[in-house]
Amino acid sequence: MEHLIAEMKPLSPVLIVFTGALAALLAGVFSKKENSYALPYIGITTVAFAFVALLNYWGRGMIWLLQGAIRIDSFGLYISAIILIACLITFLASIGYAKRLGFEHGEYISLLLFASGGMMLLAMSADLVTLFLSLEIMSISIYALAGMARHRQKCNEAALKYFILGAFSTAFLLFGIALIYGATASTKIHAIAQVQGLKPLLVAGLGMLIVGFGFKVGAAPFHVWVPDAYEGAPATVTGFMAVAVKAAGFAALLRVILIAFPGTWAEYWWPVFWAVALLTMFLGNIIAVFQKNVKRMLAYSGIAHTGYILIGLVSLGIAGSEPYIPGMKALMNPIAGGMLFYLLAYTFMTLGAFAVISLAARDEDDLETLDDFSGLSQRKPVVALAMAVFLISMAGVPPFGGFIAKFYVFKGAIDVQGMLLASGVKEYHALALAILGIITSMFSVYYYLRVVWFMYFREPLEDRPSVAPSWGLHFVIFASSVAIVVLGILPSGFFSVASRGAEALVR
Amino acid sequence: MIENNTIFLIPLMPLVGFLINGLLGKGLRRSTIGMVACAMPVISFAVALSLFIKFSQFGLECDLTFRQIMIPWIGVGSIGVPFGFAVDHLTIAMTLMITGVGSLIHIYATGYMSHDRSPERFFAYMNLFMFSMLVLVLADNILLMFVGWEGVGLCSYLLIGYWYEDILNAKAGKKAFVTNRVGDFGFLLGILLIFALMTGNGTPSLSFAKINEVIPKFAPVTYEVPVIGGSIGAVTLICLLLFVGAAGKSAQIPLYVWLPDAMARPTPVSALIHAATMVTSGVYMIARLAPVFMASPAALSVVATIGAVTALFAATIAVTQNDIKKVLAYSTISQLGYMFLAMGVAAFGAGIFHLITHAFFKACLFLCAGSVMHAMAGELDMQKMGGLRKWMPITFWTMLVSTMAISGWPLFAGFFSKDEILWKTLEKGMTSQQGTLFYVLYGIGLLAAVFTAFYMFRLVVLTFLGKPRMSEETQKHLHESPSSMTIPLMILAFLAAVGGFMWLPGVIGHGKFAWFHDFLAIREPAAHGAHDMAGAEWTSLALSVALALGASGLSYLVYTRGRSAVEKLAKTVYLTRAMYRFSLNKYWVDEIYEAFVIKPIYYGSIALWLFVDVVIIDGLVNLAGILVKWGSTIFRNLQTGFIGSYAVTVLVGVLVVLWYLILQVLK
Amino acid sequence: MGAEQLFPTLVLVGLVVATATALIVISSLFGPARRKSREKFDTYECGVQLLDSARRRFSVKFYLTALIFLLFDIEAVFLIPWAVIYRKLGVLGLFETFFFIAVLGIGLLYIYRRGALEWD
Repeated sequence: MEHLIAEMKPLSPVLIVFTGALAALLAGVFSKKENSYALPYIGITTVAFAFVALLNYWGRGMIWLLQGAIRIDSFGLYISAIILIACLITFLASIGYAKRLGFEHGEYISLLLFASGGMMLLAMSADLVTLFLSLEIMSISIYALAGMARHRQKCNEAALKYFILGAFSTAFLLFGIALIYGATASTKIHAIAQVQGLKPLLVAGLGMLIVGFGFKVGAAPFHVWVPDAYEGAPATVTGFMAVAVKAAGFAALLRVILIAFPGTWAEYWWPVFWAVALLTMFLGNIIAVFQKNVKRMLAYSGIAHTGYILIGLVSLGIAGSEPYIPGMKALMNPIAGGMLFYLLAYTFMTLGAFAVISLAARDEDDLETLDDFSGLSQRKPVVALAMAVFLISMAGVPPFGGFIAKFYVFKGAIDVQGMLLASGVKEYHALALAILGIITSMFSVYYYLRVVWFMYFREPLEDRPSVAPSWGLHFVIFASSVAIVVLGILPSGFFSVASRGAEALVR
Repeated sequence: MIENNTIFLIPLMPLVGFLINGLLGKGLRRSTIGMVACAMPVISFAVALSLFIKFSQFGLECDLTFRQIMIPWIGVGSIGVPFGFAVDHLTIAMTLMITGVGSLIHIYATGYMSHDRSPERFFAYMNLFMFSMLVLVLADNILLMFVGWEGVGLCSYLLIGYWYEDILNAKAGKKAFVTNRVGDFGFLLGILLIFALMTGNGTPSLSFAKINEVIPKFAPVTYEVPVIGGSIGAVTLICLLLFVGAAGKSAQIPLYVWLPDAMARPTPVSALIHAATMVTSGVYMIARLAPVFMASPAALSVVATIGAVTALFAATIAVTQNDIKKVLAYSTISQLGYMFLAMGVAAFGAGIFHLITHAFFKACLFLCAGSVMHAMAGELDMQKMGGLRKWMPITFWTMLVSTMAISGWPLFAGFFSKDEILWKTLEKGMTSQQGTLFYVLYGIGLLAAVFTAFYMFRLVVLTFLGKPRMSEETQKHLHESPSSMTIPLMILAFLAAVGGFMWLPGVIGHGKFAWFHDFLAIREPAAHGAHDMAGAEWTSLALSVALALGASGLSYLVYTRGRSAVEKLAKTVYLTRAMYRFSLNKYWVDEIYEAFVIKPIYYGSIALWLFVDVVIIDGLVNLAGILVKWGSTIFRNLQTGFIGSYAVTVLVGVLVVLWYLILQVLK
Repeated sequence: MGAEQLFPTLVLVGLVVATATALIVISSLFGPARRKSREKFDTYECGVQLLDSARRRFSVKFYLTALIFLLFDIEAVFLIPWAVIYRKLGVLGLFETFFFIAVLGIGLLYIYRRGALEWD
């Protein structure tokens, strides 16, 4: 018994979240309809407790649990913290919005919590089977969440498309795990690296894993679900999908790729990610240019951000595949830290932007077009200012967090390039990726600033009824914009936390 | 270095005030806004005072620094710059002055701005300015100082253009901003050079303590100057670049042109930013980096020369101006020239002493001018005033006291501080090898002092004495200002009268009544040979007293009795007419800049714009835009909305990835 | 690395393709001969006439019931392995199973309150 409790104690953040999910489920069916406004507070409380439990384990080193299926380390905790923040922001933003769209149910809260719990478990799992199971807990909850506003056609369409394509991609992931097991006779992520197994099978499994995770983080050409699902899902859910699913997906991707396929294994995977990152940045940014629907535009922008984060992974791969170059190893931790920092900054800007969308939108089906943002600065000056901060930060303009995040990622690539050149390796992949990343990021300025232009230089349209936003929404918008500014002005402290998070993967 | 946890409160309070008034101000009542805005600097002052008391507990002569590192701020490569504050004697003197005078001006402003449309905006800017200025002064490293430096520049711009409906104000703001950019560019280059030397030396830090320790060691290093030939010392180059920044911010030749134009702003702003605090930050910067400047005698000579010439140059312009605030603006430039002269002769303590007394009497003068404007419904032309003494006794007396202080009447604050600077210049002339330069500078300083006394008494006489020259209608509305304005005036006038007793000249006090000197003297080379030069010092004292009193008296006589004679002199006699016109038109410096600097840059920019920008860059950008549009149209159509086509896309991706990986394995 | 290392993979691919092909070929060889009449394509070949097309909307309750059945059925299957070795697992195992059943119970409670067990 004591043994069980000792095993379960470090897992308490996840357990708290799951308990909260069950509680919300029951509270939803046992409470009267007029009390349903209280449901988000169950979620908020749960997240708060889970966060405290999480902080308790920060800086305690690695803890292996359940026969090596779970490893609680700084990386998993960092990602879990991002997920909890995203979850909290989603709850706060949902106050009022969920009621307006008619899904103020216990299920909504419960599914969000289940998804968050799954994600946290995903970020901590050290075994491919656990990883797959937690991925499914997350995915299935998110499929249902995407269709939460079930009276809307677009919403149903989004959920169904996401579900079918998600199942399709999960099959690849599972097949990849099977191949890896076939090659190494182990599903332990840490054991795979040591096995000199059947290389072709292992590499084929690696390819399948890349596809499966690439789908979850929305990397081209596996991004096809993103625009439709993001556009159709309710704004708060979209924000959660964009941030938390991406963070969890990256967590799994980074952990599997960097721990199971470290060092010279990188020679296999970094060219794949190089091409994927390039394609992702170009497709995301170019297609976003013409979007009229702001949510769809942000979907493409989210794809583009995936591309930028992948630059970090490519840099790590190039650095890892040249282990004999002195000083190269020292570069790796800051690069991984930069990626984690990027995820943090991305969390605040994206959730903030979607919170503003949920406020600017109307209730009919043709939602969230650029016209809805016309003259927002006159109707709601503070909200418009916050939105401008989010968008400009996404475009990568100082002094906001988005700039610093991009800076760290690009700097990583250029550092690696510099180290390569200094030791006489005349290959320019890292530099090329950084330069192309900066060029595509230039395209992005156009569509981000177009929204700002609509907000500030267009007269408001008459027929837009203004929605009275809840305190939660206001708080989210305010807090996120403050966070973005703080991340932009004082990044050092956060970056050192992110680097510590990355220590569990690369030292 | 002693850790202290209260320093951050000093800049924090005005920031809080800024946030309250800036974010919530629209919903607050006028009185609340004023209360918040005034309370914050007052609290800062109290905190600064408590710090000062700590200094005195350690003994005033004891050289010590309080330090507070808030957070690591910038960590790039080997260098780590913290967000931290450091307080030593120099800093605490500046901080007390800024928060003290600043509080008084804030209180004054509540009266002055009582009819303004948007007081919350005004006070938010004022508080933001206080914050930036305090960051500038308290900064522990030069980079943080630069943040404050840019912050005060920004606030200055915002406040100059505060009444932005008038295009002239907006233009004046722009002029100030652009001129300051020129200076800031030099400052930034200086910082970068310091950064390069510091990292090259293996001491990657930008804190003042480290800079002052390391940079002077680079004195022997020289750089070849390309094109022109010759070489320049590394430290000299740094000092000159920093001085360009100081000249921009502190309105010295050749970057002084923005200050007179900037008088369009509300008068409390003039008093706070452009008399007491911001314009002195250049002086403060040099004093802060005193050891660096000491390592380059050449740079010091340049500073001294520019300072002295500015002092005289601006004073001659002030003599003929009729706009009351313009006179004070040129007077400020002139007095700042004195401070730079002090820096240049390595009399850092004396320069700071003058900085502080100047803050007292110049703030008082500006506020008096504001009080006059308040009564005269915004009238600035002294020719249309006169006889105001009858209606505004408090304003008159406080103004008279400050005028006597700035003119250098014995026992008033300005007398002690200005005389100290002049004496140090003379002393330098007597002790240094290149004595001639400093004798000349001493002469220029004396001459400028004569002009100062003359134009200041001209101002007082034209404004307050004689017959009223304003219309009957205006006379009816004349009134003394409310007590929120007169009380700060009286406090400042009192300080202007007695402030000099902090530091009596060596020959009078025999080093006994000079605690302020002791307090600051750490930064100066030990004064030696005070005994054998006592005679010289007495002579210098007597000379400046005689000249100040004489010039004041002459001015009084001329402008009470002989105005017609002066006007005749200005219009008929060839020499004096030429001088008069030179002075009245400010030596046509603005016009010269316009013709030789601004116009060429302007037309050059147009040429660049039409060719490089429109043809090449816009062409490229448009090309990129067309390509992106074209790509967007194509790729957008790939997103069909059919799940089947999506699945095929994914499948193609899978096949390509697997195909590549298998090929790699087979290789 | 040579192609010989790829051999197991090739064997796997070959097996998959062979199995799929074999299934189709065998069924077409040994299955009853196809006559393309209308009856051949009926759902029940052995005579019962269809009342209606199956491609129409069913009440969602059917799906719901089927789903719930599937869910609890599969969950119940998990109890069998536990039952086989419950002596070895001891008190700890018992506790874990209680926990498992409790979660299931919450699910059941939820379904009950939501009204999914009521047909009307």
